[in-house]
Parts: sequence; C-alpha cells; structure tokens
Amino acid sequence: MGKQYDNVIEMVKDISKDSEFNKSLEKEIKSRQISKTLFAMRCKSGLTQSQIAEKIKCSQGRVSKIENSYDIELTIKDLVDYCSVMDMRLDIGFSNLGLTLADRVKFHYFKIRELLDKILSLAKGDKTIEIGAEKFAKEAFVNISVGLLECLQKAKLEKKDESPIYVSEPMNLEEDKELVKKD
Amino acid sequence: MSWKVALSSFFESRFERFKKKHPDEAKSVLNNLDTYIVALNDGTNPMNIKAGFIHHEPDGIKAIDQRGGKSRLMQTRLYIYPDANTKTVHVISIGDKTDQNSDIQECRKYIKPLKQKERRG
Repeated sequence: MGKQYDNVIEMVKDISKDSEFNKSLEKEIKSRQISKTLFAMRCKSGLTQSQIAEKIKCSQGRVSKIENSYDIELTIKDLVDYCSVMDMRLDIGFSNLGLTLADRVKFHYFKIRELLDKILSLAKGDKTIEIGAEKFAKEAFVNISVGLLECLQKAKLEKKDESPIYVSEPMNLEEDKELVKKD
Repeated sequence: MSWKVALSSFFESRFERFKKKHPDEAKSVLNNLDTYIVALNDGTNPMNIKAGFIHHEPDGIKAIDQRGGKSRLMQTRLYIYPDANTKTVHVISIGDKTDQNSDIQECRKYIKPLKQKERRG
C-alpha cells in the first residue's frame, strides 16, 4: 500500500499543487464541522433523515438542509432539536482564547473533583449507592493515576546511560616525567 | 484508532485531470468524502452510513457524488472502498457518470486483492 493520510485535507495538500483549490477546499470543510458531526450522529444512531424529521415534526428537506448547512447558518434550535431526538444534550462552552493547554488540564482537574464530590454527596444516606460511589471513586483514582503516570513517563527526560566501567588512556610515565621537567 | 485514507496508484493523475476541468465538482465530492470519514471516525459501520450522496455499488464499493455543493454541478462519482479490518478508506478513482460502468469494473479489479487479504486475515 502506498502513502496513507489522516484526513482529506492532508491528502489533497499532498497530491494537488493548486494552492487556491486546496485553500478553498479546506475552508469549505472547516466551515461545516457541526453539520458533519450531526450527520455522523444520525448515522451512528441508525436513523434516517425522514425518521428524524418525523420526531422533530419538520420536513425531511429541513433535516437534509441542516446536515448540509454551513456552521454559521445553523440555529441553536436546529441543534437542540437534533440532540433531543438522539437523547443528547447540547453543551455550549466558552473559553478564553488566552487559555493554554496547561490551563485546560487544571480546569479539567477541578471539574473531575467537582463531579466526584457531587457523586459522593448524592450517594449519602443510601448504603448501596454509597458503596457503589466509593468503588467508582477508587476506580477513577486508579485509572486517572495510571493515565497520568504514563504521561509523566513520556515527559521524563531520557537519562544518559552511565557506563559502570571507565577506560582511561594508558599512562606513560616517561612522557609524564618529561612534562614535569619542562615545567 | 482513526480511519486512514489511502490512494490507488492511478488516482492522483486522474484527479489532477478531473480537477482541471471540473474544480467545483472535485471540491464537492471531496467535501462529501470528508463527511463520510467523519461518520466512520464516529464509530459508525460503513454499511450504516446512508446519505443521498453515497451510492452503494457491488463488492462494498461506494460511489460518492457531488450533491450538496454549488447548484448545477455535473454528475460526478468518487469511488472508494472502506476496509473495516485495516480502518482504511481506499480512494480509487474519480469520473463522471457516463464512465461509471467501466470505472466500477476497474474498482472491482483494484479491490480484489484487498478482499482476498480480508478473507485470509
């Protein structure tokens, strides 16, 4: 098998020298990310456009239009309707452009803590749920720790192998005596 | 693991020729190919990806058309083969609808060794 690519943009950039075409295709693809995701969600759920249309009480044409829209053309109602059919919730996130990846890691750490605390407090009072919540907290601790440990190992600087044997150059006493005399 | 894209040995030259004559059609089928790959990466079985722009041809070959792009585009077909074992989308050929019979035959020939491998694997 020849060369492999991770995505269509990467493939086209490699085989087409027409930079205008490549840029225009990239723009087209990137401006439809949400509608592509909606299409993928529908396929995964096994529903047809008509079934979605029936559930959200609109025409199949509207569903088709949503799946072909540019992201900026979609309304929040379109997304909420789509999610409601697929038993999903629309989450909207706002983040500061100045946030670094490290800031995001910290953010998620606090979020995880918050959610675990919530689980534990919800479990209070019911022995069975308390046991389950404790078990889950332990599992989460192990899984997260193992994952972080793997990251830590990747981040570790490689230690240079120190050989336990050092071979020095042969000593020449005559030469050394000469050097001392000169000094 | 995400799906990868692999090209047939003759795709590149055919694509260049096609793109020169019909850039809007080429852009549209590639955009649809990207949509198809997004669905694959979401974990959907290739058999379950159903859309107006996907035509199911023999031997598991899919023909992706130009729908969804600018209006009044020429009927175009981008022939692909999603290999679920290796998680690879083989992009085989591109052409207009008039050549589709010969294009499909060529694609079937191309995927024959892939399918044999699949059976053995």
